[in-house]
Parts: sequence; structure tokens; C-alpha cells
Amino acid sequence: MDALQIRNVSKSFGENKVLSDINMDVRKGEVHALIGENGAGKSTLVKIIGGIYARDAGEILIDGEAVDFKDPLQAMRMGISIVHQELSLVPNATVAENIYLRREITNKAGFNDWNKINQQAAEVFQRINLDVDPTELVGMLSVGMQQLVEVAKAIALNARIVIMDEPTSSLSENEIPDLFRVIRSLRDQGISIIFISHKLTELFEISDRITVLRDGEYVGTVDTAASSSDEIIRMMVGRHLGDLFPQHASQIGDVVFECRGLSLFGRAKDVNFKIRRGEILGLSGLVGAGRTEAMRALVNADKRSSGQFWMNGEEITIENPQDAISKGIYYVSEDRKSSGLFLNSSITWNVAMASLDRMKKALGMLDQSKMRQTAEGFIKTMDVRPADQRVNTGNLSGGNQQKVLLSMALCTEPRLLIVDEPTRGVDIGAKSLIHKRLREIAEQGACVIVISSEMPEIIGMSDRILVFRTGHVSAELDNLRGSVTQEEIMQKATHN
Amino acid sequence: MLTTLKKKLKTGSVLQAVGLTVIILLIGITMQVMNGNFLSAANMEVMAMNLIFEGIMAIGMTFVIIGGGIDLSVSAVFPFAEIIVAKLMIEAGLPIFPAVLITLALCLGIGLINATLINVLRVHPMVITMGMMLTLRGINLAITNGKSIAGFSDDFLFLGQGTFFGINLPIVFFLFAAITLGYLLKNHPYFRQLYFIGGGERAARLSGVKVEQVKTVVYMLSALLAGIAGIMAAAQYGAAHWSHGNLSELKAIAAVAIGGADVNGGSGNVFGTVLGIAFLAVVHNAFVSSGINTFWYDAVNGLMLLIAILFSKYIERKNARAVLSAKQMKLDESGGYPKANMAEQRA
Repeated sequence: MDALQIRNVSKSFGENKVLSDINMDVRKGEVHALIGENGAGKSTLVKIIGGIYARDAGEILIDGEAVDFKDPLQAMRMGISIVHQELSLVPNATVAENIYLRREITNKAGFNDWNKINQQAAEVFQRINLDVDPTELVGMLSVGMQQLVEVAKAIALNARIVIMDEPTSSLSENEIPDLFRVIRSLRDQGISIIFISHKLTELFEISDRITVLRDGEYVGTVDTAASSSDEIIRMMVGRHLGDLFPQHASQIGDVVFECRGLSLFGRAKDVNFKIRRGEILGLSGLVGAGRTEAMRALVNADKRSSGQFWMNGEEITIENPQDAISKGIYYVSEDRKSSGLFLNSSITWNVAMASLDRMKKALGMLDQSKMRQTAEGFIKTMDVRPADQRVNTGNLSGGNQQKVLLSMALCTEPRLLIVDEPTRGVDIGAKSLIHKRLREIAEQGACVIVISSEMPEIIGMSDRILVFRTGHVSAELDNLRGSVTQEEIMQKATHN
Repeated sequence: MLTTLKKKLKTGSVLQAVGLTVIILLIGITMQVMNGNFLSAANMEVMAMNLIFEGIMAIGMTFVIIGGGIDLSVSAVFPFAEIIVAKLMIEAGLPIFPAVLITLALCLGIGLINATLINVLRVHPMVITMGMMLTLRGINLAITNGKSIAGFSDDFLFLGQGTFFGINLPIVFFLFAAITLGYLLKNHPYFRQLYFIGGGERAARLSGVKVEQVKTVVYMLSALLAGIAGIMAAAQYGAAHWSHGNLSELKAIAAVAIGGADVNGGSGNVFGTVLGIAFLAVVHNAFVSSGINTFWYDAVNGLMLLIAILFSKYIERKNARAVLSAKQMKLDESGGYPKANMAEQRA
């Protein structure tokens, strides 16, 4: 008997049909990967299984029994837990309280039994072999650790089916093995896991079977062992993608930008680097090792404690992000939703937002037709869909949001473009387009700094790699021929 | 390393409470030395009674604010309860018990309307409760023609003027409410949900918290406490008047904020609010007894709120700084990539 059977499930939002006739079986004690480009309907399917959305048609059976959840709590009680892509933990509460939210252990009077809650949370962590203090406030943990707490929360009440929506997207390379270890131990305990990810290498490492969705339709299910990434990619996009990364730099010029002694109190210390015309510099290292922190300090988004900068041999000051933009340095945040885009504004406004100074006509009024033309241009070159500049960016898929975010940066015509996690949570099509565009920008003479937690991206994109470890730059690796290996980076990122 | 970090953090909220207590004591001692009558029983009573109704409202406000909301309507619910209970008893001739019961039921209804509008319209609670405050204030004026209602029975006046073991009844109620509701907020799973709603509504919803339901309960609680405060105030003053309680919502919010709650929701506790209201009361008292022009009251109240928020931000920042300092020490200990090497390599 399969643990979960999905029969002909369909779902529409208004006119928009997001799922049609989906079928999927999840066996007991298997890791079942679910993959598809953004907008393929994975998240919607997951939300239907978890009782967050109601389905329009079809059936869901758990252990052969038809179920119909009215809210997430009901699904939870039936043993279905979801580890959401966005963290669903509350920073001001302790780890243990987060785990047992709505399933509190109470004493006879109905009050929380804190000792028992903490003790049981500790047991859950023991079961998955993690070292976390249950009384710690969640907000004090690293994002990676929070993700693992999410998993603990999901399994704390005898879950039978655990759904993980891109659980690795916020984990650093050395935290992923922890997660996989946890997943395998759950599987061995007879729990079924639905694992959603964009990263094929991960799916092949962890899953037993893979189901592919495309444009809201079921494409097929294959045994992982008998399949290949080429086959999966073909199923996902319906075509071959060829080489995933563009060529490395064809020509590298003179030093354009130099940074010396950049420090951010308590986060990064003494970061030095130079970057040359046409070069893509990759910043690697574990999450929290100081990559993002150093770049935010560079544009003074977080007030740095020291740092000197030279642009084309001339010393410059960078007072704040706005000042940085005016001097040709643009930092694109890793979090497009909360510190990148204006989700309630149209594509037009988002694209122009950082360059409004150059969108003026007589009397300092905004030149709206120029804004529209500019947006139209970027929609074409970046292949933004839907290709309608009036659409609010909040209504776009992750991949298209990322394209608009990048357009916003490119609209300022930066000489040094710093992109933080440029393809996080983005589908394969958008990803390869973004990679291609970044390389084009570099070939046109700009300098690009790419921060990424994804090793293949760092190696595939960068001509040179800086590896960060605990706030310092621990190594600088030449990668003009793509010769650096993941092992090499990992070693520099973790060892002395 | 980790444990020292954690200890520093844990003392953070404690530090704020201690700091506030110390300041309250300092003001008290200064006043005692200067005027000599600060600690007299009479002055203590005056001081406690001065902001007692705002204090009762502040307890409800604590719940609302932790849940990420705000309730401006309490300052209109307060005189509304005064007027309704007065009308029912003096004009309709109802006995105390049914009159109080009906009044409180109406107040609960106002809380229910607030919450329903907030839940259904998904408009910021500030706008909804401000609308409710203005509407209700208009109703208060209209149904009384701007006049006060007096002539309560002595039995009713006892609710506001009577004592219990020598302590004024409103103070007894305040302490009772603070202790029971404070304990519930700290330990009852139902009220713990508030911290999750205020800390991250989406996350709370995904975790199975019935956000709308909890909010409804909390806005009703806030209106109920404002109603109880209003009834006790009518008994205390011996009259109901539409202008009573004007600006009390701001004092209640100030007390919550001074007590260390994040006005954006997700943190705070009743004990902090009690300290906050005590702080406001002591400052106010110090002000009055030093005989400065009373027209300056509002200016001082406003200033106090700003200072308190600065203070809590200062402590927050100091804590964050302490955490960072620990990390910086770690950074300094571990050697970095040699600077010279780095700069020369590519030159």
C-alpha cells in the first residue's frame, strides 16, 4: 500500500489553471523527488497535500484512505508535515516552543509544561543527531540551523509523510550532508519524504524516485538509479539545454576596482581584493562566513569599520548604497522579496527605480515614456514573462522576479556589479539566462562579483574565486580555465 | 563561547526590566529627599490611582501589541462604558449587576467588530480602531448631548471608591488582572500563539495557528478591560462624561512600549507593562509634586515615551553589540589570509 496516492488532482486560481490531472504515488519509506521549473505547480501541489489549499477535483489517499483536509492542522494530525521554502519559525520564541507550536505538551491545568517541551525537543534532536539547545531563541540560530529545526518540527509529532520544499536553498554546502543524513535516517524509520529541489545533483544523491511536472501537468516518474540528469532535464523543459554555463572570460583587462582592509565589526575582517575589466569574481564559502556581509559593508549598507577603495586607480569613498550606485557600484541583494524588489509596483517602476535620476525631462518631471521604453527593452533582453510591463513584480514567478531585479541593477549601467545568490530558487531556464547575461555584461567591460552557495555556479561562472572562512578570505583561486574543483573550495572553506 | 553569548542575551530583557526598576526607584528617592512626602501612604495611593485605568487598558493592549496589532479604540470604549452603565442604572433604573453585565457585553461586541473588520478587510488595525474610536466618541457625545450623567447609588460607587484590605478596588482589580493574565500569557498555549502571530503571521498560519480566531479573542479582551476600567472610573468619579479617558490609549500604548514590548509585535510581557505604567505614574507624580505649570503635562508625557523608546532601543543595540563583540573577538583570534600576500599576488 502506498503511503500517499494522488489521483487526478486539478486546481485553478480564477482563470489560471495551475494543476491539471496530476497523479503521483509515494511509497512508504522512500525519498520521492518532485521537480519542475518554477511555475510547474510543485508548490501548489504541496499546499494541496498539506491542507493549505483546497483542490478543485481529484482524490488524495493516505494509506489507501481518502482524505479531505480543511486546514493545515488536520493534515498535521494525519501525519503530513511540510517544511516550507520560507522558514515558518518565529525568531522570538525558543527552538522547543517553535517545534511544539499548536501541539504543546501541557500539564493538567492546561498550561505549557516547559520542562517536558524542552526535554522532548531535545529527544527529537537526538533522534536526528543534531546539536541544538532547545531553549535557544530561534532568531539566534543561523539560517541553515533554522532549516534543520524546521525539519525537527516536521517530524516531532510522528509524521508519516514529510514534504520538503527546497530545503537546501538556504543551506551552505557543509550543512547539506547534515540534512541528507537526517533524511536518510527518517527514510529508514519508514517515513516517506517528498523532496523538492532545483538542484539535480542533490536529487540524484538523495532520492529513490523522481516525478517531473511541467506547466501544471504530470510528465512522468522514473527510478533515480535508472535515470540520468539529461533525461530529467529533457522531461522538465522538453528540450536539451546543452552546456549549462557560458564560456569563461575571453579577455581580462586592467584592474578596475580595488578594495583594501574592508572590515565589518564582528562579521568580516580585513578583506582585500582587486577585480579587472571583463572579469567575474566568485565569492564562495559557507553561509555566514562573511561573503554577503563583506559586500554589504562595501556599499556601506551595513556600516563598515574600515575599508579603502580605488576605482580605475583613483581612491574613492563609498558613503552608502546610493553613493555606490552613483559611482558605478551596484549590490543586488540575495533576498529579492524583502530587500530587492518593490513587489507592489509594476515592472516598469522596478526597472527604473534605481535610475530615476536619469529618467527626467523638463522641470525635473519623470519621463514616463522613457521609463516604459527602458522596461520594454529589458523585458526583451531578459525574457521576462509575462512580457507585460504593467504587471506588479509581486505576481511574477521567482525566476522572473530575479530577472527584473537584475534589470533594475543593469539599468544603472554599473561598472562593478555585485550579485548575491543570483539564481536562488530560480528554475533552470531562467538560471541559464541569468548566467549568460552576467557573462555578457562582463564581456562588455564591466566587472562582476558573484556570491553563491552553489559550488557548480561558482566554478562555472567565476574566472577567479575568493573563498571566505569565518569572516576572513582564506584563499584566492585562479579559475580562468574552470580548473578549480569543489573539493578544493570546500577544503579552503572549512580547514585551516 | 556559545554559552557566554547566550547568557548575555538572556540578561538582555532582564537588564531592561532592572534598568526600568532602578530608574523608577531613583526618581522616587530623589522626590523623597526633595519633598519628603513621596513615600507617604497618601501619596502612594494618589500615584497608584492616577494612571490605574490606563494601566488596566495597558494589560489588554499588551496582548494586542504582542499579536502585532494595536487598539486605539480603548479610549472611546472607556467613556462608552461609563455612559452606558450610567444610562442603564440612572435613566433606566436597572440594578448594578445586570447593568454592568449588559455594558460589558456591549464592550465585547465592540471588540468583536474591531477584530472582524481587521480580519475581513485586512486593513491595518490602526486605521480600523481609529475609525472605531472616532465613531464611538461621536456616539458618546450624541447620546449624552455632551453633558455628564451623575447620581449613582452608593453601592455602585463602591466599585470605584471602595477598598479591599485597605487597597482601592481598581488597584486590586489591576493587580489581579495583571497576575492572572500575565501568567496565562506566559504559560498558556492559547495565548502563546500571540507571539507567533506577532512574530510572523504567515509562519503562524502555516503552523496551524488560527490567526483570525486568536486576534478576535484578543481585541475582545482589550475592549473588555477598557469597559471594566470605564465602569470603575464612573464609580470612582461619580459621573460619566464623554471626555473621560481622552488620550488614554496613547498612555496605554506608551506603557507597553516602555515595558520593553516591540511595537511591531512578537515580544513583550505583562510584567514589563506593569513596570511601564509604574514609570509613567512616578514621573507624573514627581512632576505634580514639584509644582511646575500643569499645562506641561502632555509635553512631558510625550517626551517620556520618546525617552523610553530610545532607552529600549539603546539596550537592544547594546545587546546586539555584545553579541557582535564576542564574534569580533573570535575573528581577532583566528588569523586571516595574509594581507600583503593578497595585495601583491595580482599586482
